[in-house]
Amino acid sequence: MLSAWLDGAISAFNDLFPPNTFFNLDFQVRGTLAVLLVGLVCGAVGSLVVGNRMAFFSDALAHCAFAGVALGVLVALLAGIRDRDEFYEWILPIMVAFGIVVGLLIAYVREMTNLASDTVIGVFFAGAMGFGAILLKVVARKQYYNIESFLFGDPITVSSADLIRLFFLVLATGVFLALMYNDFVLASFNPSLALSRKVRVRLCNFTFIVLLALIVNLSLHTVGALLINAMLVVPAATAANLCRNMRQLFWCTVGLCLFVGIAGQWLSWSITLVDATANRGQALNLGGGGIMVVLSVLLFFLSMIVGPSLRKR
Amino acid sequence: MTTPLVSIRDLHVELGGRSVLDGVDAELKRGQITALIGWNGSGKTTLLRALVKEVPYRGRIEFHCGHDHRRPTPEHVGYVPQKLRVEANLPLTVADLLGLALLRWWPLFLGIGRRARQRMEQLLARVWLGSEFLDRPVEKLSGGELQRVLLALALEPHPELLLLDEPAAGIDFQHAEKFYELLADLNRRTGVTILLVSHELSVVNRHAHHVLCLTDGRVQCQGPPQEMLTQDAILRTFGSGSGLYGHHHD
Ligand SMILES: Nc1ncnc2c1ncn2[C@@H]1O[C@H](COP(=O)(O)OP(=O)(O)O)[C@@H](O)[C@H]1O
Ligand SMILES: [Mg+2]
Repeated sequence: MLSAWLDGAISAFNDLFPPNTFFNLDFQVRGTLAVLLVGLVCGAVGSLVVGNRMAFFSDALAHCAFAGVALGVLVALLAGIRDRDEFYEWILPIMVAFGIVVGLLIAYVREMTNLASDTVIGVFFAGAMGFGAILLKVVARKQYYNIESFLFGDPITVSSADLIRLFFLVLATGVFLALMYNDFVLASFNPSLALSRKVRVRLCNFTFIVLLALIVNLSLHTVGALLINAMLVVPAATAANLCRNMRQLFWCTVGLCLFVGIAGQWLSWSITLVDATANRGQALNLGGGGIMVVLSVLLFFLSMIVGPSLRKR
Repeated sequence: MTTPLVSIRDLHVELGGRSVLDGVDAELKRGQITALIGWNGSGKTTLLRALVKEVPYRGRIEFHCGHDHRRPTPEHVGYVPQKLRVEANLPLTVADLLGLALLRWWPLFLGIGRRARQRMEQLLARVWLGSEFLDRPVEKLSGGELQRVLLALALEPHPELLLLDEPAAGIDFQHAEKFYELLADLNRRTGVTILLVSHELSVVNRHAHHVLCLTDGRVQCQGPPQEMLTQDAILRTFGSGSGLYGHHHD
């Protein structure tokens, strides 16, 4: 119902612009909204991921989504689902739940044992990838699930239902930050100190893991499993090179994420390569997600050059 | 003046399947500085972590503060950790650190208001630091300065008990001495009870009222520093040839 309303609103917006311009195309408008929403959440939690050394963890979560998809496909097949849209409705909750369970298990095992967290994450990572690989042939059957769009995503394939989910994701992220940002960051420096300041350290950690699993899984249509971690980590690392305090770091990360999102979306629309070997020179579109990531990596290197003088001032 | 603020009875802590604290009995007397000494790995940090209820334990820890509390709160216990684990390159300033701990229902990224900043300046003044420190990056502080910032934080809002875990480890002698003088001064002026993990027996001798020696998770001996720090007691706690006067590095 909400998504039907959004469809209507977007097409009304499209009609305000001349035919075949950027804002006249409903998929471009949806894609732009999607990168804005994804940029907002990734930017908002990016500094937390980096500050808490969770880059590998979030990467593992993204890859575990692969096993989540495989599990979802398996369940949907066993349940006898054939219709593609219905299929996705089935897979999504299974994926999200799987991601949350794996994330919490990693945290739990790390707490219970003395193993280095890299090791624990690595083991779960391997298990999930193995499980996904077993079912690869099943999953990769195009009529069920497009594995390519899962790996790399594409903003212009985002549906209105996706957008609504992303909108609620932004809300959830906002609530988490409002209630737990201070506590979570403090606990990452020293749990004993945080406990002595009345912080519920475990609750913060587990809540953040759940949020991260939601972010990773719900952003897959927009940026894909292989690229989502770049959006979580690279802009925050760039901002850390440029900023002089944590307040600046937060807003600078959000700003960078939004900027590379919009720029990637715009560039993938305005640049087309022509494949000369194909009949009548078929146009090839560039992947929006890939442009965003490459752009943010370029900005990172730039920040390494200008950062020191900026921070010294 | 010498009623206990905290009584610890038959405290057992197991971590990773092995016993770290094995029946600790101790009392922290109100208004006194108690020094906790012992080898690395003897369980000193674990005892502090049990006091802030970070690790599960068997036995009893009773705070006689007149408040009912299951979790430690900043009103009762101020904890000065040994170090902070700040990711390299994270632009954390002193004001950020204080803000993260002190601002309630106000996420730090919304900014630090003028009144909060003034309060932070007052906190720093308590530990003899000027307001120019607020905008310094935490990673650029010297060991002694960081310990004083952490102490300033622990002192808000005037807890009855301060826990300090080797506050002077890695600080040069002069700054360590200044830090201990600050602690002794706070103890005299405000009557705050202090539990101090320290390796420096000279410091213990000068500033502590009471000494607890921990060996293999038990209190092996305790008493006033003049009695405790005889050659004999040191040998029993640290083993022979330890030469632990002055500085000890992990
Ligand atoms: N989380 C843990 N899991 C297992 N063993 C631990 C853990 N934390 C501490 N220990 C062990 O407990 C012992 C006491 O540690 P600690 O209290 O840090 O000693 P101290 O502070 O006196 O140097 C050490 O042998 C340490 O290896
Ligand atoms: Mg220790």
